Amino acid sequence: MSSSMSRRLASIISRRHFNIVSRAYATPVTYKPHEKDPQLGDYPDLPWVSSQELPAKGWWDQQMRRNFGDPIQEYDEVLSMWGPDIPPVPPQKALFQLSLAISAFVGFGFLCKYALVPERPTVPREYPYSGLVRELGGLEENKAREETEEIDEISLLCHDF
Amino acid sequence: MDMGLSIGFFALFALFGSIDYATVFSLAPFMNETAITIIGLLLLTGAMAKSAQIPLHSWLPGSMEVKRFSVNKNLPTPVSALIHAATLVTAGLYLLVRSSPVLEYSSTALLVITLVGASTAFFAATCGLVQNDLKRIIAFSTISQLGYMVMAVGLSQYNVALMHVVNHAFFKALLFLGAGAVIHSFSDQQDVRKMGGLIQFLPFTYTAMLVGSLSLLATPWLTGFYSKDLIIELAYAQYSFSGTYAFILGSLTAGLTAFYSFRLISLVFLTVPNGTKSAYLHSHEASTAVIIPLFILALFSIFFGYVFSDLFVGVGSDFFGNAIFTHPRNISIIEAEFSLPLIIKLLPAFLSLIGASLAVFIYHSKNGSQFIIGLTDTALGKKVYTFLNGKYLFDVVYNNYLIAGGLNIGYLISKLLDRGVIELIGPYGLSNTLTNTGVNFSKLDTGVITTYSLYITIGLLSLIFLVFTPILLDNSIIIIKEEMRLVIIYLAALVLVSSNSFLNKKEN
Repeated sequence: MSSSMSRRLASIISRRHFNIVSRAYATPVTYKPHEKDPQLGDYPDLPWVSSQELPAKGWWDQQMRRNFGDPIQEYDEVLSMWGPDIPPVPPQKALFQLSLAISAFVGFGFLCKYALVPERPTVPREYPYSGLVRELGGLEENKAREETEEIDEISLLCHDF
Repeated sequence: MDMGLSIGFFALFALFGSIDYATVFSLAPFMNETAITIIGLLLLTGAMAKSAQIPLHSWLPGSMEVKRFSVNKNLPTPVSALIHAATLVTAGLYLLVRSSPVLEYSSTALLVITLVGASTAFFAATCGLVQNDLKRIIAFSTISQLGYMVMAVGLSQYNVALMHVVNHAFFKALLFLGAGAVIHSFSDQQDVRKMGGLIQFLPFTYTAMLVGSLSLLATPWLTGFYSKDLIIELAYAQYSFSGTYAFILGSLTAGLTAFYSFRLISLVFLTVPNGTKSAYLHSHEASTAVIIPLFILALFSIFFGYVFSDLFVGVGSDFFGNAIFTHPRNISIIEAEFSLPLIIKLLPAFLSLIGASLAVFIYHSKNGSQFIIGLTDTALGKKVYTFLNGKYLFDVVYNNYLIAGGLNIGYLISKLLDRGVIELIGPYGLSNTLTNTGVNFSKLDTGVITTYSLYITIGLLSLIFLVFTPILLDNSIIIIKEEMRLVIIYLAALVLVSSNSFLNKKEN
């Protein structure tokens, strides 16, 4: 009698305990047994749940989503509201999609380089005084395009007449 | 990335022996081109971070929006108007423009600058298409326009870049202040999906924001037109790879800019009201203190370009004197003005018109709305939307592959070094050792006289050993003072060995 009572009591307690857990953390938490970090000492070994995953309302501290007196997780920098955002898409997928986009930009660059550059309709501008070599510091490699003395057809025609 | 800029300064100092502008600029033509390229790229990293260029852009929209989980408000809008339109973000541009005499001697650096600028302009415009936060849309538009400016710098058109900085300051400040007026009057609401129909309540703010948007999308003869359109034309007029890349992306960006600007106008001011009734009942036009700056900025957004374009970017204008240097082989203003086909000249304006009309059509007609809603019904559409709305998912990748790595290293250092090794050989270890030694020594007090005589014997033997070891080792004369090391080692060993808990273990 007493043993069946105690079993029922235990089941009720466990159920109640479950209810409390489910209320505190709306997102179901799968518990994985792990060895407690010895550096924690007698500090509570809290579950690895980001505050960003907790329900938005009903907290004493609305912004940080914690109640008064709640112990802080050891890894609070990662798991608090100010920690890195929980990714809206899996990171590997994000990396893949971003890589695709970058490849598209690079591919478009190659397309521009080899297929889309328009033909220059005019001769590049030339500068007098040997391509302004002295005005630009005196070095040959820095000078602008030098004047070339090309005999064009029109002047040849004019000369003939 | 300020580190990159600092390294750039160090490199400048190492190469030129000075970081004085006059010295650096006068010596730049005589320096190794590779060195100049490296310096140019290092300066670019500083400018990229400051002017929010890919891949260092994510701070700018982040500083605008209401943080997803935060109940605190974000940056005040006038601060956004000042910092993100006129002053802070253009500092990077200023650095590049001011460094023109150095950059001009490195075609590689200029090429990289153009590619970064053009890619940023296009990237930001595509992201801006699907944002829902009023200020974040304007923030992406800012990044996009900064991309245009950087692009202009890469194309060696420093004066045009500078004019776009000035023009952009006018219309973007107008847009930000207008947005601030809307947000303030509409119960601090920033989500454009929860607005609509505000033209009836805020006619002046609507007018101001319309002027800002029209100027932003380079409507002919408004301020933005004189710089933005010219940048696109100058890109084409280069007849080069970088110019073509910049021209195509710049033109597409112009169309996208028009679309998201008119999307914003439509969702906020036109279409049907989507907000709460109380928000509409309380909405009111801003006070005179807000209206006056909006009015002045609107005037500048309309007329500044028309009045000052010849001064800034006119053919042969010597307004900037020696402040800006463009190498003669990079001058392309003549080609841009006179050699371009008409269709190329009109293309950006044409694309802008299409973009704006499309936005108005989509957000006003039933078919358009159904089309835009239907886009996210397909799996691909949903993915594209998430990708663009998530800003190309840069933040996810950064958070998981860079920030997480940094945090892990931090925890590793904390666990293994701070609370590990340093603690063990430092405070905890020392106190523990001394305590253990004390405990172990106290155990020697057995009360048995023969044990004490053993201690005396061991002590005597140790002393003799200490005194005579030097002689045994190298036959020198005993000088205790010089051989203090042995005594120290002996005492330390005594403490450390006795501290060990092996005595306790034995007991256990």
